[in-house]
Amino acid sequence: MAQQGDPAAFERIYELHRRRVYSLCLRMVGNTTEAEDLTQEAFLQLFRKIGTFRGESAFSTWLHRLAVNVVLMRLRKKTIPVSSLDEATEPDDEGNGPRRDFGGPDLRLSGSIDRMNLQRAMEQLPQGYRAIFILHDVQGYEHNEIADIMGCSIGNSKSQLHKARMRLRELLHEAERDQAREKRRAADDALQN
Amino acid sequence: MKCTFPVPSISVRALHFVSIALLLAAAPSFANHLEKHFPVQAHPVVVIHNPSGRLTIQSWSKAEVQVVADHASDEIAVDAMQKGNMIDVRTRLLAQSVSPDQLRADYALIVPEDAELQIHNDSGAVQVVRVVGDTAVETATAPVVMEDMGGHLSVKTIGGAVECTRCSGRLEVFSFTGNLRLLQSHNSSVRAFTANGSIFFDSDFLPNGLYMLRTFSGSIAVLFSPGDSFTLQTGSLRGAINNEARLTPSVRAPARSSRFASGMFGSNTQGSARVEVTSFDGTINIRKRE
Amino acid sequence: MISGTECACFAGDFENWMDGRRSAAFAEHLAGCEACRVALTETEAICAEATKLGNEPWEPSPRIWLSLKAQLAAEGIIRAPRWNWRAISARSLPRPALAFAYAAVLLVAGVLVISKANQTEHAAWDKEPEVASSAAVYNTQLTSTEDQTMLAWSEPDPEIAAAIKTDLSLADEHISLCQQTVREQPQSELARDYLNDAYQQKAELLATMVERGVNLQ
Repeated sequence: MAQQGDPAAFERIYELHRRRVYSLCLRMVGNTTEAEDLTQEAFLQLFRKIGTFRGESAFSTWLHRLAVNVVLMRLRKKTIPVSSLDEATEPDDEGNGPRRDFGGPDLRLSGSIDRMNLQRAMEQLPQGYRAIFILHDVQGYEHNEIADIMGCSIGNSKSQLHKARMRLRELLHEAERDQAREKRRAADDALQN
Repeated sequence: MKCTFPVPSISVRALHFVSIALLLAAAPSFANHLEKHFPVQAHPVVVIHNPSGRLTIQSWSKAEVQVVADHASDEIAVDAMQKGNMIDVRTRLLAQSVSPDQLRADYALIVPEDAELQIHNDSGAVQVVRVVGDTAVETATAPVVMEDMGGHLSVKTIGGAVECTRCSGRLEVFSFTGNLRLLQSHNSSVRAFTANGSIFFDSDFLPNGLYMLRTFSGSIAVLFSPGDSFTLQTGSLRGAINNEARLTPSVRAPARSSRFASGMFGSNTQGSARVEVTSFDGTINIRKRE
Repeated sequence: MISGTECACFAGDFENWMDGRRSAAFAEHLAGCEACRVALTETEAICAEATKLGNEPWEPSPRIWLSLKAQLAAEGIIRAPRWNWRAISARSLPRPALAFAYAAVLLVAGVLVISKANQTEHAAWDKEPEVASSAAVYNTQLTSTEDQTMLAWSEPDPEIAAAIKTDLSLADEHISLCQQTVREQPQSELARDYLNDAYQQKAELLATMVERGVNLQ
């Protein structure tokens, strides 16, 4: 019905998918205004192309592929380049590898993960890692779906997800160290005063 | 822009008292009254079917639809029901045949700003203010007044006059004999047709907007400012065309359609908006705003 | 002591463990490697918190849909809603025969519209016979439909009845004027447009009368 231009059908599609698409866009860009623009752009592209959908994949997969492409294209237009999923995005990835991946005795996160810290850490991830982490761990897509959405292999999706998680661990550790340092400094200042 | 005039407070109170007294005296006495409140989600759909009476709709920031209905006759009943996110309001006949006087029911609705409205109100009057979801109105003879509206506006009437003030979005108006007035509006697309009524257009031309104004016998007046950017195509088979716009050929303009072979064609400044004005034998006036 | 190199050998098993595929070798390694246990625990905590993020009830602003719909309509991707008059009275709905006649009228109007759309920009004046024959067919259909409608029509509101009657005579006048104009100006596309509009106006008016409720005797 949507392929025939029925407005009610379009609205139904929008209602079903708007939260996930918006959530994806917001997680990727971290800004509500831009996320809303991207959401609108994603659905606009979807509805323009809906006549070409032949059912080769799940409709939601197709939609999210469009949304991710819209977001990545927008990010490419900004000064920070979007990392290719096939590239090693971190120069230290191949060098320090194992020890860094698995951490050391002084890098244990204390207590539960703080949501704000996690969100900040996600924003610091390279865009390719961020996209895959959001799709898999936040939105619950399987690797075969992510491969379809991102246009990469399943193996690639798995390895990038692993790297994203490891990088997030590092960022969270750094955030904790920074916070601990700030607390100590504040305590020292209080003692001196 | 609000203008305030200093008025002595005592006379204002007296004026209010007199106004209310006059209104009460003028208004028909309604024996039957209904008031209902419906909590709704985003973009509720509100459908109204009323054969005769006054209908006013305005908006508020609450996620709620308020329906107030009054009618004098016992030959009709007013129903307001909620089905999911849709509110259905209708006047129901309780007898096989009901005279026009007994058909009358007056409604006052307050809806969320993003509500979608579907209005069928044959006679009486329809007024809708500050709703930006899509609105479709059908009347037989009831005049329609819309102010500060948005979205896709569609009005169809047999003989009712239609007036849109400060509206935006897309507008489609069709009337057989009603006059159409489009004032201070900011529509991206206007399609207005009246067979025997007149069209008065005093609104903005948006970049890449499309404005099609058409009558059979009624006159058409379009006001423009010298800085407005539009391409004009106008034609009248048997009527006169009076044009004050300095039109120049423009490379941006679409190819002149042969249906305008006997009319005027050209651009004012950059020719961004597209304006088509046609009448069978009515007079067309393209006038500069003073 | 377990070395980082040994942990690196289990990198793939670490990923699989997170996906729910648990290998005995990695389980044995975990038993003796605090660093890997910590890494696993922290990664699981990150994933658990990330899942909660996915459940946040974020809603885009309502303006997005409104803006989107307007854009889609402007691009012609969605069709504008078509409204039909609703019969509000307690009388019976239109009979199938009359509705069929109305549909036939609109079908002829459609043929006229399509034939008009297929004309080239510089239609030759010898298209007039085509218009004349279409007009004859259309007139016959319209007259037949109008006769049936008028016989059965009964409008209780005199104001509305008067308005419809006035508009019907106006529609006839318009058709007559337009036919004359097309004969006088066979090359005028505007004249053909108006003739087509006049037919459609009459058909719409008859349809309105039918949909408001026709009491067939």
